[in-house]
Amino acid sequence: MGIPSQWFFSQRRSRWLYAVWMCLFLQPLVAVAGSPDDDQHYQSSLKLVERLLTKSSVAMAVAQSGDSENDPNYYLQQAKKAHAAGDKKKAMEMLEKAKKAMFKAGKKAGAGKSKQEKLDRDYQKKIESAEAMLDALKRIHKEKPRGEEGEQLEQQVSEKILQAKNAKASGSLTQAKQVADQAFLLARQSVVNLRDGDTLVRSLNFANKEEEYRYELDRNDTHKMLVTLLAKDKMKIPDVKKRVEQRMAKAEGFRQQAETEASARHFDKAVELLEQSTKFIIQAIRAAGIYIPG
Amino acid sequence: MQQQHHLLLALTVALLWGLQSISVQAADDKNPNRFYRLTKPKSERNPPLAKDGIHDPAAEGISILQAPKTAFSKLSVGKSGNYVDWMKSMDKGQIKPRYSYEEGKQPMPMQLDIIRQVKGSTPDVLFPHKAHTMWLDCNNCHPAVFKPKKGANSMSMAQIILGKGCGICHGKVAFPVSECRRCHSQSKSMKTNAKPDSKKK
Repeated sequence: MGIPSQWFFSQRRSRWLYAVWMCLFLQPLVAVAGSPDDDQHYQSSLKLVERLLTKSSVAMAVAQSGDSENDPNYYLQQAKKAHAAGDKKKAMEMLEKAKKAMFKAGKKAGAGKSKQEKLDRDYQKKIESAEAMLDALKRIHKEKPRGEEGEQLEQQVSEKILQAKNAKASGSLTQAKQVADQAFLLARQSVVNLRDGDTLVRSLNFANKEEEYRYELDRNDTHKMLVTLLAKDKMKIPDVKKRVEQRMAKAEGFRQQAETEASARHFDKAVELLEQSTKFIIQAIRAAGIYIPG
Repeated sequence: MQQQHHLLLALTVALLWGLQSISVQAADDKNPNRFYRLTKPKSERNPPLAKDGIHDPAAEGISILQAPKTAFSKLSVGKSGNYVDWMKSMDKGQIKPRYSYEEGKQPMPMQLDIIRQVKGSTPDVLFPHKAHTMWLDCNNCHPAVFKPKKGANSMSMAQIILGKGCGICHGKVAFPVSECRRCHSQSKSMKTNAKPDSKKK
């Protein structure tokens, strides 16, 4: 081998390479062993748990309930002791237990007014959904008649809805919710069975030109919002901003003409002008480098 | 001894090459001629919670929460939003979201597509019930958000962008509305046998 090879493979070179690699391998081990970040993590967790146990709404509910079972404070004290003794792993485990104990106590304490309110809200939502599903079922049965079977199904769902409402009126909220759930599930299952595999087309038919004008106004507003949504960042570039603003100015001109025509009830003309306006807005968005269909 | 030298040399070269790749990526982000420079570079996607403009960086709990990049690293890649394809992730079993807090409840997917025609050359909207019912129950949307009745729901993109209708979820917990073709996917040239305002099986 020549002189460069000898130098390259000399022991001195090897020692240097060994040193570099040892540093690379040891660095993560030092990080795992314990760093300022671990302590910071513990301190921020500790602050959170202390706040949870003393100042949060859950803490107030637990204090009011007077329930001391599975006291979260015990775990908090254990966490502090473990941290003081240098056992960080145990300290974090105890903090975790304190949090869980607090949530458990909170659930137990909150099984009063707030639970009732939630049950009521859930019931309302479910009964409205059951009624909507029943309406949908009736409409589908008109399209796809099922004769007596369909009628019986509708009857069953109606009865369950009525039963749920009666239970609510008599104060049995839990039972009302359960029956509302049953009504909903029955109606839902039927709708799914009937509609599975269908494709429904909602076509665009306007009753008159005024309706079409309202649609075009919405479409125009939408595209203006899309300029902000899609091209906001690109507008920081002066050339892009200039191109976009030129086209937006034209769009605005057409829009104003359309509104003037609409106020004179010339909706045919107004629709045409709005279409022009929207075209320029689309051009503006594309001028910013964003392709949108249309 | 020489073999050890060879090994050390090879490892050092590999390390230096790796470091160089990272610095090339960082430089690439700033390159004005970078491919598709108008999109957000990868390095800016899913920033740390303290820098995402949503979480309070001074909040004590912020260090406890998992970083999005770490959480999303094993999921299927998407093209917008948080760059995760959540449907694909669920289909592949990478995530198993709990359907209900009640034990034993399973989703009831329904294969029902709704096509909403739109004006102009913008493709029509195809709303797939199946993809939605994998995550949601009927009563999440019906009737509070959408009445389950043809013609009863007037919709506009303006409303959606302002957070109504579809915008209740899309742009917040589902893909953003900046990806037009995710919804406007039914090309006008794709004729269906269905008559307008009708259904087809």
